[in-house]
Amino acid sequence: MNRQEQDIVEKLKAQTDEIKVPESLEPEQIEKMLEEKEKDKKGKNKNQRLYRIGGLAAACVALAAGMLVYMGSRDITGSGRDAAVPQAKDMEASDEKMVASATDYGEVYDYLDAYRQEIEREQSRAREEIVLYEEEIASDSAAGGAAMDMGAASGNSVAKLAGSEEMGSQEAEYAEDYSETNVRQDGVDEGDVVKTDGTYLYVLKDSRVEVSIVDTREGVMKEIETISVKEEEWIEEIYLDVQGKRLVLVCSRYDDQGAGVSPQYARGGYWYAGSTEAVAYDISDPGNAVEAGRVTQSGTYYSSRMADGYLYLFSNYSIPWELMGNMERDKPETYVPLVNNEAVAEKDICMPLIPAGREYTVVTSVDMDRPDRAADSKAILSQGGTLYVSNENIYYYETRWSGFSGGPSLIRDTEQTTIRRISYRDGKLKPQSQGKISGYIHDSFSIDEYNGYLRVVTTEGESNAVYVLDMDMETVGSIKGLAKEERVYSARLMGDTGYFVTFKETDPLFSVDFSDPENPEIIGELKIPGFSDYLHPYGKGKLLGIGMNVDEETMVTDGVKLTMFDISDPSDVKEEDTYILRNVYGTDVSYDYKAALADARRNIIGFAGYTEGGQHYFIFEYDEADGFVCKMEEEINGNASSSARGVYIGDTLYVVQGNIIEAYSLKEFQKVDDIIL
Amino acid sequence: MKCDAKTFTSLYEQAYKDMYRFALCLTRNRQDAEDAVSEAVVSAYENIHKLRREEAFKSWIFTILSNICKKRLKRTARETPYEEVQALSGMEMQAREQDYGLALDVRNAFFILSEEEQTIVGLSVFGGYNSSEIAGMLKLNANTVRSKRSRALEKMKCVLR
Repeated sequence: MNRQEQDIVEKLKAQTDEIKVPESLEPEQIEKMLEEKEKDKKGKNKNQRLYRIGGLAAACVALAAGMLVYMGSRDITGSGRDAAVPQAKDMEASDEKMVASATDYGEVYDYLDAYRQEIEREQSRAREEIVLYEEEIASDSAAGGAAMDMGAASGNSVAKLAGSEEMGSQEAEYAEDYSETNVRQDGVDEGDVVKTDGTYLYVLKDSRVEVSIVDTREGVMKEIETISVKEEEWIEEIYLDVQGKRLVLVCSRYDDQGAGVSPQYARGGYWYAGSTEAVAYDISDPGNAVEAGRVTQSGTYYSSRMADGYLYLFSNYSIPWELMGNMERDKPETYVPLVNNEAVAEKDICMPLIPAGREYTVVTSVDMDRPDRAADSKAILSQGGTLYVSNENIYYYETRWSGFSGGPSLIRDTEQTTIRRISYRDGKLKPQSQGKISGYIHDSFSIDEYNGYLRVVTTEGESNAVYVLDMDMETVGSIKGLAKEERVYSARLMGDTGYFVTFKETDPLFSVDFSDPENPEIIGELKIPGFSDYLHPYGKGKLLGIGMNVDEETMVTDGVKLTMFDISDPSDVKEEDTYILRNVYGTDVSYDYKAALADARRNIIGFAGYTEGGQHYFIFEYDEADGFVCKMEEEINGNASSSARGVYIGDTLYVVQGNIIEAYSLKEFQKVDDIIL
Repeated sequence: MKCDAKTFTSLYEQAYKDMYRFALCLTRNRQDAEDAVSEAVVSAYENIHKLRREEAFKSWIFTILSNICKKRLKRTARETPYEEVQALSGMEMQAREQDYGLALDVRNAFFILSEEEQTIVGLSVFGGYNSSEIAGMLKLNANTVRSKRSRALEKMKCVLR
């Protein structure tokens, strides 16, 4: 866990520390209760053997390696340190400029085997020592640091809801103007729980094993098709390729096809490597979806994108520790991820910048015209990183955290982020350049490619910085030491101008001029109370901020806040209007940009907010004279683990939460229909 | 391990406060939390012979408790049909909420999490377990636990701040 996460855990602990436990649960009461039970049992059934042997004991034998050994050792000493984290001796990031591909499988094998030996040494050391209770810090700042980064990326801000310019000509005849998933990068689609083509709604059901296709024509919703996945499989996200008439189910499954793990082991053990699968359906006739092909790859689902008729599927694969001892040099399938049952070729394995970690990020491209095979694959060896996908490149970045990150020899003063660039075009993946910058990247909105340059906003120790990198990942321009003692909350880099928000007590919105990449310049700074978690371009000269209001005296958040910034002059940004929803204590948009519906062309801002009485869906309009106008606030009746989505087709808004869809007129803002899937 | 009521209780004593707080955050209802902990105790006591090392007691009983809470939440969800959810607004909702016995913002913070996220955060906060241990308890991959946990904490941050 990183420091921010640790803070939240501490806070939760402090706030629950005073909770009184009911008397019936006090140990004395429990002891009495158990004694009563014991008497009953003895009285009734003398033949019952109270202490059977076997059961769990047998299962445990199989798990006698790896982390369990470690956990065991810690249990014996009563405290311990997490030895599961690798501590390679030389953890400095490579200065190599090109992304290194493996020359042969032997190189990959040697790397992983060295890693395995390193961990074994660590484990035996841990067993001998009696160490302090600091395993959380030790294990999490190394591996968890990267995880935090991942969470942040899946987590924050942006959206763009374009119209339907790219619709197929046939659809255009009857399909209406409709919204698309709010994505990070225009032109690069992302998976979600709801998709629409302007006629049908495609909804991932709350069970995560079925997708429903709902016909919305004639103002009445009708469920016309249900697609189920195989047993042991569940759906993470769905895609719609409107032109290619494909619906893609991105799935995870328990059974494993990597490293020669038997499915039995995979399911019963504490670890399963898991695999990720993209299943494409032909939806020429949405009432009768037909499977068109599937591609499976090793590893748990990480992310995906769709661009120009290709799906890019990302999974994270690490060899289960107890199987690392079974690696065989001449059997790559024992240590290399598989794509459609074949080991990724050696030339397609990218060696790590930092010699640590046994995780592969596997990326496969799938042509929607040939969804039964992988068009290309790469496996990136890393400690675990995060993605940003521009219109031409995949940027894979990893952060090494400062402080105590994995071992006493690894105390660092500052965070460092390494970035690898892999170009993609028509399904072809090509490793290109790599580089490094100091600091960490808040979320994928803080990293942006434009006109052949990569611009990055980082937080570094107690201050912030802006970097401009060329396509060789060399830093060509920077501004350092910004907003001391504050952290980046959100960013939006739009063409030659970038905006970012930091927060401590007030919310400075910085404007950065990137027009000369070698000399980026801060040209404006606007201080306002509260903060924006998410920034969204809202038509010409306007930037919408969605965040929280903060009471300046108590420093407590007291409601969701909408802000419209006038950015027609980036050097003199003004707060044009704000709207505070006092009784709404949070919105999913703060950490999940896909939850936002924002379209300046239609003048619609929609999102779900948490209130005392449950979740409500809000629709706002904005105009310069009246500012924000709340057009609708309706209770959301669905109950699901995923966050609610608002989707419109023509003049109808569909609020989708789990298996319930509620339809509202965007003219009268009245409920017109609902359906339970 | 062999274990009588007395030994069991001495082990329980080291864990019960955290167990109750964990259950309360997951069920958000005093009565449900109390029931869940009792149920976990009974189930643990009946199965204590399967536990091999005394030292693993806390993580073991927490695994049992988290499964019980999960089952209970599922049951509650099933027993509350759509119409009822609709009807359950206004007064009734308020009456329900008053019985939480939990700081408002902590309750809100847990409220916005998915069931799985609640369990992961609960195990981190009250069990004090790291991601690898939670992975073992929930039969998830440790990386998955880490990314789910940071996403969950990120969500909670908005409410707790």
